[in-house]
Amino acid sequence: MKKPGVRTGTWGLDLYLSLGVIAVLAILPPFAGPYYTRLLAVGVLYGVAATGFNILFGYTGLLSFGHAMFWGLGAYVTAIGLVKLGLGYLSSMLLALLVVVLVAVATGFISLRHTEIYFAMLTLALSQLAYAIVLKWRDVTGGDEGPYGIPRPLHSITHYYYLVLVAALLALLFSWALLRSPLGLALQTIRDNPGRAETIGYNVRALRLLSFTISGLVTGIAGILYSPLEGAITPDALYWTFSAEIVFMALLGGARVFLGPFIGGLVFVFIRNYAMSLTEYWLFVMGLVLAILVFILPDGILGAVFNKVVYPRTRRR
Amino acid sequence: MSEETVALRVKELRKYFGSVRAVDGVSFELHEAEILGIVGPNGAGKTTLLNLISGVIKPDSGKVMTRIRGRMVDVTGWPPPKLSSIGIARAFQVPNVFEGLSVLDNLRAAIIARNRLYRSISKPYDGGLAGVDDEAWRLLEFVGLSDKYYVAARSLSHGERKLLDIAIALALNPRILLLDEPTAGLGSQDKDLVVDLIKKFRAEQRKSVIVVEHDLDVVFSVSDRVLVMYDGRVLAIGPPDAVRADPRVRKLYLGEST
Repeated sequence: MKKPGVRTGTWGLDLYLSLGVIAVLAILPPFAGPYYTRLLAVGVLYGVAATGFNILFGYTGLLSFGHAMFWGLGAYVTAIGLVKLGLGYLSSMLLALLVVVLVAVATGFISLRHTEIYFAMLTLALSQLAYAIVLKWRDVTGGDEGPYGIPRPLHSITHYYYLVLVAALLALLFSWALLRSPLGLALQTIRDNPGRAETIGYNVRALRLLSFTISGLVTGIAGILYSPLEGAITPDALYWTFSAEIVFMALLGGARVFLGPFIGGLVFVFIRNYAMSLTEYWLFVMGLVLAILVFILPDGILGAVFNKVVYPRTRRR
Repeated sequence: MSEETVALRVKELRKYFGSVRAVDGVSFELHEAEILGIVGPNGAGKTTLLNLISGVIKPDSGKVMTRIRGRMVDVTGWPPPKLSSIGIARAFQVPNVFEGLSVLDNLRAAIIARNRLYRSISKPYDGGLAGVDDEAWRLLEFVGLSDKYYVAARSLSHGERKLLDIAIALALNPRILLLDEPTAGLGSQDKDLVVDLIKKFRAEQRKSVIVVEHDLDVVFSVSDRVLVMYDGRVLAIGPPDAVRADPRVRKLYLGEST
């Protein structure tokens, strides 16, 4: 019984798919109108966040349950820079980037003392700590209402959408090049067999920390672009349920296919939007989707497509 | 054999687990281009001895020394990555490979680790990095897995995974190769394959091999010398015929009444 999983060797296809999806997203705004363009922008940012998460989860084998922290901190520091500190866009975003990296190194250093479920619990705990700080440090963060009136660099939603899309393209290209590099292969050996990776000479601890930091950084970049899009940000952006949603997005699209989490983020936003318009019990719908996913598409949407279409061919080279 | 040809020296190595004397004062020398077989009944301490040499566990006392740039250096208790960097590599009893990666990528990963190429992200790992793919293919052909280069390790048979595990150890370009039960769980055909592989490795590269093995036919056919362990101690060591003829070995291990 050979169950085809995702392996290396689809990198070319992964790149073309990424470029193709971005190209399709680029021609959508005129047809979508402002409401759906904004929704698409959120979907793209969720997709980037999930792609960042998956560097750690799908390619390094570590399940983080605290990635909302990087998203939320990116969004918050950008908002605070713009609204409270009176900084420009670029300096606010760079400041946010710096904070995200520092926090990622620090939390990674602490939580990577363990792996598996203990690692997941530590990331959860640390992200809840960040949530509590954001919620209670009212003078700076605005408490449970958060900073609002966040300006947007490009006034038109369509223009901002294209900014988001360019950022997403760069994030995808960067993640793709990283994972396909010798460093990316090293991360994958750690995912599959950390003990053996150590014996053949990889510094597992250091590489995990590097992966954690890069992963947090990519998710943070999505968060940074999110607050000007929304114009307001609340502590929910750091709450653990959003961490769970990032995990959900990655699984929905397929954590073992490069573009899977990005697709997952996009699809997630539209499922949620539809469910919310359908019923106030939309969380029930999301739960149902998750259950169906686990039973019918265990490898996610794109994972299923790859299993059916791509792998049978690459196997027969 | 003279002092200059000693590749590895184990001196009075001891490891107790509570009251169990797993390895109880073992000494021996391994020479360059020598295949040393280690046999013994279950619980004799063979795997513990290998774990001590390969740095997986630390000994209570005793020394492991190996030749680095012509001098004998004490490497007792060095961690496995450090040992593999000075040329002591190990393959495992249960195949220890990278399940999600293709056969080829398993070897690329090992060669990249050895050559310290993993700090770069400017080039793809599958884009013909200097020297990596040539060597990977050479190793695949050496162990006979080149037809399966694209298969994920998890989809290989048990025997193929054993071969891949050995190939990963070889990719580290070891001077001393430690094999823990390389033929365990293999059919007779695959067993012959592994025996040939060990002989070929020594013949082509003039490197040393320690083979811990249950299968006496394998050990006696492949080894230059055989070390018999019993109760954590060396019961006998010497050429296969001499060891086989040793009355204590016959009595305690081979189970013959003389």
